[in-house]
Amino acid sequence: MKAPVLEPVLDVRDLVVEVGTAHGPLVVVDGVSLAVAPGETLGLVGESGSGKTLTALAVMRLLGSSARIAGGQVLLEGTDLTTLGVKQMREVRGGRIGMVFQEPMTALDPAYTVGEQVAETVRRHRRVPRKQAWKRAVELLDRVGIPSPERRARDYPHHFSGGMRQRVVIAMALSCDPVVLLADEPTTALDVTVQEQILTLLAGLRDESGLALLFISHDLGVIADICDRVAVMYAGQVVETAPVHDLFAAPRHPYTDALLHCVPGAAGTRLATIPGTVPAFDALPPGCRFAPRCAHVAPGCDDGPVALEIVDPAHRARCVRLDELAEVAS
Amino acid sequence: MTALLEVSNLAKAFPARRTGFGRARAWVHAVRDVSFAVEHGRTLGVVGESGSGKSTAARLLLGLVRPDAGTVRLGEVDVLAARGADLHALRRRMPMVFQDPYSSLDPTWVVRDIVTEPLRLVGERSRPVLGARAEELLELVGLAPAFARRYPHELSGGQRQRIALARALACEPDLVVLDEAVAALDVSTRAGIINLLQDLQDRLGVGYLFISHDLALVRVVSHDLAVMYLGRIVESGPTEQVYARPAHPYTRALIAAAPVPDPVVQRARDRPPVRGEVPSALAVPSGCAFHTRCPLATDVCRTTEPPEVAIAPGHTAACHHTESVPGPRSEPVPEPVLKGTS
Repeated sequence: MKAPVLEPVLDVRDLVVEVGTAHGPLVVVDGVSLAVAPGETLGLVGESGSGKTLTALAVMRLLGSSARIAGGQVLLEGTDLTTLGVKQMREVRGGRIGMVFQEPMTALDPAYTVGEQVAETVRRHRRVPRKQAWKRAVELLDRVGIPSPERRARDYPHHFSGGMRQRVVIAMALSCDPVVLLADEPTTALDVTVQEQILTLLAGLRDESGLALLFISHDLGVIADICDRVAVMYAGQVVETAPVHDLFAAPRHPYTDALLHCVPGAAGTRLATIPGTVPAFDALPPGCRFAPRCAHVAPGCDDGPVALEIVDPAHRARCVRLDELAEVAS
Repeated sequence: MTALLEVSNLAKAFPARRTGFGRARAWVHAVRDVSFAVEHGRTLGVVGESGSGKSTAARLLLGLVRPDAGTVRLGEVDVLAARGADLHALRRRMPMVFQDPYSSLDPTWVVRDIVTEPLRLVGERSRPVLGARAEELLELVGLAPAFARRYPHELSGGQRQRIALARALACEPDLVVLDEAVAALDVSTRAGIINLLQDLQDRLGVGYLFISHDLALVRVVSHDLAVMYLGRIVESGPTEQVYARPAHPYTRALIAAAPVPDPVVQRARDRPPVRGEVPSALAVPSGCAFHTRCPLATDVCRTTEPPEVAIAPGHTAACHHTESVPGPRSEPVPEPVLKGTS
């Protein structure tokens, strides 16, 4: 277990993201705070529409025209990214923060060789001659486990399998020695045997270079495999955050607990389900956003916004019945 | 007892890369000599990674794609011999539910029309009858009657998949083919659909062919399991038996690679990594197709296609090295017996 003594390199504080609609702005990421230290992996887990990808896009300032950061800070090594100009932000993306997304083919240009594309990301951030950039590209391809990188660098993306393409994307993300690697569902489009290889690669790179890894996934198995700490999102809020072992062994938010029970176990066992659906952002419940679906709902749950309460120094949960439910569980 | 669905020696190769004159220069061997059976009221899970041929197999048995060889029998009927109206009638007896509930439902139709379309196709015209049947079907899949008047865009992914299932059940089929039917759904929604499938099987005695890439899921829903790799079934048998004693190295690799949602268990697992990725179906490796990635591969694997070896009653694996199967951890592995020439 890593001791949380290191200062976080990425520190997101009370991030608020709004989406413009015909009826005015809607808050879709509501006061999200996350911190990742060097060599640490923070998992961001949630179902579709929970706001995990929007949080990542906000960190990178890639929200597009319909959404905007309405509040909070994104501190990268002490610098608030929300205040940076467009040009400076471009330096950060692919520079201090590397990105890996779900579908490698959309991140690669089919018209250029893989080596050219990796070399280009190197040259975009560093003034180096072409030859040197190419050499660096080959080194990077080697580092992410592409066999005979010298030769493969001259191939086009369509010559690569899905797993190899994702390795190329990871090589591009690493090209400027980032301090933070942001991976949004990096293995979701891959086969399970290949997923395993990519997870091993990412964990190895993290440990070698002390990367801070922000790992977004809906897959609890993958989260259990690679993360040190986990933040669970629901309807735009972080509802629970804890070290990975605590979260799986002793979840304190009813949503986390329910989610863990929905996962298939042994044959013949009936899966737990969560009744109802995720609320729409224009019709959020007045209090706890999970209350309408919660098995432990009580009169107090609807009274008003619920704060993230401290369970222990590393564990927080957003539930009004935190103390009562702990007694039920124990 | 005859099986509900019996598929024998199914094969299909698709032409790829044609010459200037339209002749095929290469072939994608999507399905190679596949045989399986689905029993009444039971579920056969078919697992495999992309390119394993699992979806092609489903399309072949519905007659959506003509196979090069093999037979498909639904009860006593030869599916592949059927043409025209007969074939359409057969498909209504084994409807299919697809992965994406967003593209498989007509957005301009209300739910009532979607779920009763199969009945209208067989000539039912009476609006009161169709309306009543729509309510019954919605009730069956756990949706309120009010859903009958809604459009697909008003529904969540899970609700849409319930509608797709209701439509599949409209003609009271004996078998439903589910091709990655829950893969696009969130964890909590997916669990609801899985439970619904099991309830429907208990109530209606319907059989399922459950095609998925997700081993953990297949384990929960399937009585029997078939593992496909590059167009061939490499191992099959009763699900728990295969899990307890996976005999094919590929099955073991799949089980080992699927992450367990428990950090203590997951990190303590002994997981020898599998090399590489699934080769292209354009160039299926010689001998055993898995030999390029197999930790046990020897010379015979590179040259000779392995025969099906019986591991236990109903449990077979196509591997030259089943004797070196690290056994379940409790009972000894019986001597592998060669099956008679088939």
